[in-house]
Amino acid sequence: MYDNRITFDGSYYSKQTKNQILNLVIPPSSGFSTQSVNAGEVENKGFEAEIGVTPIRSSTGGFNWVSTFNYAANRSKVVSLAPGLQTVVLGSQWSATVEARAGEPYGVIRGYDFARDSAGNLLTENGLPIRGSQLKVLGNVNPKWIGGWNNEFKYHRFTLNVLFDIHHGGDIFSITNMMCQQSGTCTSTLTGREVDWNKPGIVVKGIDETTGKANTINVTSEEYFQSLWLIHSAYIYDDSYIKLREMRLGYDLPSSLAGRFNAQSVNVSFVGRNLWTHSNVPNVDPEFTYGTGNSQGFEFAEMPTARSLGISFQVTP
Amino acid sequence: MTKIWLTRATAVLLVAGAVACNTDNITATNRNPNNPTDAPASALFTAATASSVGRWLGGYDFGQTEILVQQLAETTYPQEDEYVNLQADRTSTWFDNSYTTDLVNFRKVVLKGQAASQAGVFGPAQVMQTWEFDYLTDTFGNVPYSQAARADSGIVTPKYDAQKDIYAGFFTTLASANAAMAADASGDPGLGGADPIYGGNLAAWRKFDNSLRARLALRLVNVDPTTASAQLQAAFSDPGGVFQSNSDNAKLVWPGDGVSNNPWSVTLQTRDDRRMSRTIMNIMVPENDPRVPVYAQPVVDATYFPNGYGGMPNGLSQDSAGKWFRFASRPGTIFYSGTTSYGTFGTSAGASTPSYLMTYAELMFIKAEAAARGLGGLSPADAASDYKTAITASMNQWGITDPTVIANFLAQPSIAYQGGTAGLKQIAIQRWIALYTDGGQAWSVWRRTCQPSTIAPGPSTIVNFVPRRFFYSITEQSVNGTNLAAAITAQGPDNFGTRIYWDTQPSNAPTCN
Repeated sequence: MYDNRITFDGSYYSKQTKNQILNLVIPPSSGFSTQSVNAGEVENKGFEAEIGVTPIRSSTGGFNWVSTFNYAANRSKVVSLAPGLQTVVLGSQWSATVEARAGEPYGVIRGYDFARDSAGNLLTENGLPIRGSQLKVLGNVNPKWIGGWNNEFKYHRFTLNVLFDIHHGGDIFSITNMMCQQSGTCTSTLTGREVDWNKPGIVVKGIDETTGKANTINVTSEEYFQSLWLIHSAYIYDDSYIKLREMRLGYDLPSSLAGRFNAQSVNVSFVGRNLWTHSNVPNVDPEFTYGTGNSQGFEFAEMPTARSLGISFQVTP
Repeated sequence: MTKIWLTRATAVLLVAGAVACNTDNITATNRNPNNPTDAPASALFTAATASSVGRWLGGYDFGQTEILVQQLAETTYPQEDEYVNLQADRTSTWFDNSYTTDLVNFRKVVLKGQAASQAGVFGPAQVMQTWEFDYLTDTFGNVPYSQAARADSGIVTPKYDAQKDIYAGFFTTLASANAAMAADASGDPGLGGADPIYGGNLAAWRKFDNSLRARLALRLVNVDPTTASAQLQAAFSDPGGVFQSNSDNAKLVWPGDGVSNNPWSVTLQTRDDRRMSRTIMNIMVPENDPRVPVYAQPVVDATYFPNGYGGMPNGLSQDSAGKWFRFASRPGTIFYSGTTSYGTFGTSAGASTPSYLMTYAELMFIKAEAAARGLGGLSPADAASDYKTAITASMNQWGITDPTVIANFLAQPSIAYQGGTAGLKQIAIQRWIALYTDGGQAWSVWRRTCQPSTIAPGPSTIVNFVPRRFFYSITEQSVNGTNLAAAITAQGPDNFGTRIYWDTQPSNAPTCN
């Protein structure tokens, strides 16, 4: 379009996968732990697109700016599993599970929530929140969409590339945050102990389970944060993030200089990767790899992605 | 044009012909030639026996029931003592793995033996099955029995049998195994060396069969004294006999080779938080029991126990329990295999300390109690000598052989047999002491007889009574829910307090009042 100054490429897909091979858990009293069956139907629907725009185009040597944005969104659904089977557990940690559960997207996090009354108020016992007794679906590990935005600026021999990676939506269970709150080593646990270890303390906003009235008991910071242990909903975070993935400033040597290296062209670039991150998850890198299998969404003390700065020297003979 | 068309058509046909495969071999691809789907009965028997003994006289025992029944206590990490770690998340494994690892294999051994008409193969397997199912039902109550471990025959969700029927099944199985072993053809090679308990000796297995039958029969005495008496009579009068001496003991002597070691010694390699319990030491030490230096070690710091041996209370908080670390006795050196991560105790021989499935001592205690109560055709006049024989046998088993030492112990007023209800209490307490290293059986003795009466929950336990059963398996709740719900309706709520069938009439026990 517009003399190739705007390009668009998009696709829509809908995929049904049937007859999965499932290892059904069977009662151990049958003598065996699992039985392999063909069952299950999973549906994936999605849309992928790439838009390229060239807002500024000049003749050779002038200022050029090309901007490309790509986008991918996928919605999965476990339509059904085997008869009588409600869920397949893909992974579990600290009593939370990530599951392929019939009727839900593939990869829901299930765990414990706070105990609440019918109006949704938090229930407390001795001033501390209580863990609910039922396991619930607390989140979906799949992002709403992922995408990237690349901008390339060219002027004479200089090229500047700026690439952003975007991951929007998706929930994670952050075990690192659960551990650091349990042990009091992260700054969020300073709440309630700004003056001394037990001053000013914390009064949890909720209804006392025994009296039925608003909670007024003051507890120490330590008691409060330790009472959150294994209440998974306190540690489920929306994993949206934007990362400045790469910034590259390059210079093409003039052909006379390139000729000295017996090369057609030589490019020298300064490259910076993972320069900046914006996310809402405290204390950890929102981009992590817990494993390469189907069990995703549990963050547990992985090393964060490293920022790197370097020089790249590219010779084309 | 036509030539091109023909070439293309031929090419397509050739390709189609080549890939139109013979589907006969496609499912053959599923078969892995490196994964055998069958094994000889002998190998299955050895594996299942070692696994079941290692489970019920290992993790279940040293890790849980010995603490529950207050022969051991925990110092650094008292979560079992507080009953926190005795809940479904820690006990489902005994249920699940018994079926998937042991019982499924014992069943295969029985089927193979029966198919080949070899009582030397299926007889011992049926006795071991019964021995293991006994722990399962005494721990959980109603459990799958008649439909258990039959997934390969199509029963994927077995029903739970009532304990009453399970015990009836035990007696039938033991009787028929005994009869089959008695009538076994002389040419039957049996299990031979693959039998780590008796080396294939069927006469020994028949004695174990009858002794086990007596143990199970006496258990029912509060709820069904008629069956109890009849089965005791059948067991004691069977031509195969019962245990006659310690050489008949059903025991597994561990190779101690680093692969199959005594399970207590394996845990003690890295854990130093087991100590003797005050409950057992407060009975044995004042009675000058010669087994004390075998069961326990002298304390490190004699501040509380100047005579060198003593136990700590059960069920303390972590802070309080930790304070007893240096002051309470460790378990005896025979359970340690030399170098551990925290010091050297015992010698490498500790790795081969046997695990006792059932002993002559216990059999004589059963006989003494049956005689005292006039069950099974036995006479109360025999109770006193049976009682003495039982204690002597236990002493000998634990390495105390000097007759003077034993006689001095037996002569003490609290030990000498008193007859009547007091006598029954003595039998129960001495049997409980003799069952050290078999926490499950000791737990059953305490539940049925309420002795020793000093067993009581500590200050930091999560319930204020000693558990009478364990929770049902978590996995079964998820995938066998209907059958499990029926079992719970029949037996009572799935918690620590529900009494299983043979535990339901405590008022019928003379020693419970």
